[in-house]
Amino acid sequence: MDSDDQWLYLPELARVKRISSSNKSGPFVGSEFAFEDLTAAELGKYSYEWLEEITLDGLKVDKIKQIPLYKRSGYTYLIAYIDKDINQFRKVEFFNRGGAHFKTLTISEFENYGGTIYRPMLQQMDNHLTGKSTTLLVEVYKFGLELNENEFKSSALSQL
Amino acid sequence: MKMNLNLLHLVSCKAIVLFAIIISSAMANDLSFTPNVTTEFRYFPESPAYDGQFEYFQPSIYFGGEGRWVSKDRKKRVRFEPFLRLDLQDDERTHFDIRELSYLQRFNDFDLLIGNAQIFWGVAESRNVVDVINQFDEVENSDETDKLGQPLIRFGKYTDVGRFEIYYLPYFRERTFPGKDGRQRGPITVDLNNADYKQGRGKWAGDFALRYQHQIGQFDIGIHVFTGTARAPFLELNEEGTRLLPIYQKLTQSGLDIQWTWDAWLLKLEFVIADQSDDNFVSSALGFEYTFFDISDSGLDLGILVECLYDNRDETKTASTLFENDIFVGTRLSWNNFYESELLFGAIIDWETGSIFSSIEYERRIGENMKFEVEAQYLTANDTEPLAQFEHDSNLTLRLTRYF
Repeated sequence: MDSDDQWLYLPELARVKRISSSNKSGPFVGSEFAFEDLTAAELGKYSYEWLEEITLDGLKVDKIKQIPLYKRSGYTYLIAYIDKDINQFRKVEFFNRGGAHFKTLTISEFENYGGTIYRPMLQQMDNHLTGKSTTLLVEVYKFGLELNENEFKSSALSQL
Repeated sequence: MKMNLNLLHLVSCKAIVLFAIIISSAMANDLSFTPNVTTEFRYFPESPAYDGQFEYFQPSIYFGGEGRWVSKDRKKRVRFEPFLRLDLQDDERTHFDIRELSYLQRFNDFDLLIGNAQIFWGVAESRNVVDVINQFDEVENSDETDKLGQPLIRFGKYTDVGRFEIYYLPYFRERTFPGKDGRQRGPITVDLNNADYKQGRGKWAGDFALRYQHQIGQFDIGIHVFTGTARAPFLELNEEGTRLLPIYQKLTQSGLDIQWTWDAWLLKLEFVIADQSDDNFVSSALGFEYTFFDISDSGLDLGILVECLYDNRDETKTASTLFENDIFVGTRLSWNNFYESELLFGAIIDWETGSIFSSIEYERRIGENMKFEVEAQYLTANDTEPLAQFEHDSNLTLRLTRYF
């Protein structure tokens, strides 16, 4: 499958540069998150296999095997645990090219933004090989903003 | 390779910058100003070639900052970036500039930018022949990365077939040059008080430009037309033969820049056809960048860059001394670590004479608000080459920046 389109804004040069997005497996600024963990989660990026329904920390979850379709992925597969009640990922286990379970992402502190909209305020990635972990904390999500499609054009990067 | 020491400005790919800006702009709805201060220490191991030039050490300090106000609806933005350098050796290098003081107003599918601004056009790394809006702050660094703020009005419009921009640049900024005390100059200094303009109204002659940009699949395309005063001066010896007078000529040019991004490959072309002082010439850069990502699962990225530079101007008429038949080779090593460590190497080689201008630069953050850089420039040239004037000016630079 095709990779994402990525542009980078370099403030020192006031330059917008299109960059290769084939870097999937590399670490993002020394963190335990790889670039592919931070790009948009789209349905078409994986093939899926439903494994079973289990109980995880007292919650009913679907256990699903996800196989990346992108050839440069650093993972052979992911095991995702999806909360049956709010339809959100609660945990993802990552299996490296050698097939070893080496990272776990734990997603928690969900807040409800009305109706069926839930967002996690805390995501923690633990690396079992290095013993290191990285935490992503979110202060607030805003919905209902008036966004114009031109704000998502690459040239708009220099207008932020 | 000709007189200007147009070094290499390898772009360092820092994804974090993009993320940080998206995050901060989404959050910001008020005023912010982040100052920074840098101490710089340049060392020239060789004795100077000309009278008046300082020996060995060039300490300096510079102050910068980024001020920003974004309205709640993100449609209005003010940016303010002052710059002040104090140099102990070269009086000309002690200077102040407002890099940016601009107001941006966005409407649904058009936008207006007014003020002093920095504009970048182009896709190449060694030299951007299409990048004509801003004047170079040559006394800062000879590598064409530092640019003076340009007063402008820009009207931009998004359409289904790309983005169009119209520029009016009412006031001309003269290029800065090292003074008598400074290194990296020729035997005769540039007279900065007696610039001559080939158009009536001089600095107020005004420039116009049109720019079109679009993305079609893996292609990023830009087309432009510029008419106005050339940023690069023709340097003419005065009658006494004591100073060089900068002569700013009329320039009309049209150009194209294309990047094709495929997998880990970036293929780049910049091409300009120009008419300046009765000389018609083309100027171009053609090259590629290939990156080996995450080598052996180490997190390390290695980029390889090659660009061919070609320029056929007649330097007796349009002596904006630039690269002619040169080849640029470079590498970029990124550790992708918490400190954003990065090593850049680049060399511009004149394949006719074997002259080489090279630089190697390492940078990393220290802690959460400091950055350390070390840069070495090395050059060698055949005695018949203009570059030979700078042969004594290979140097080593250390910089430490504190952000507040």
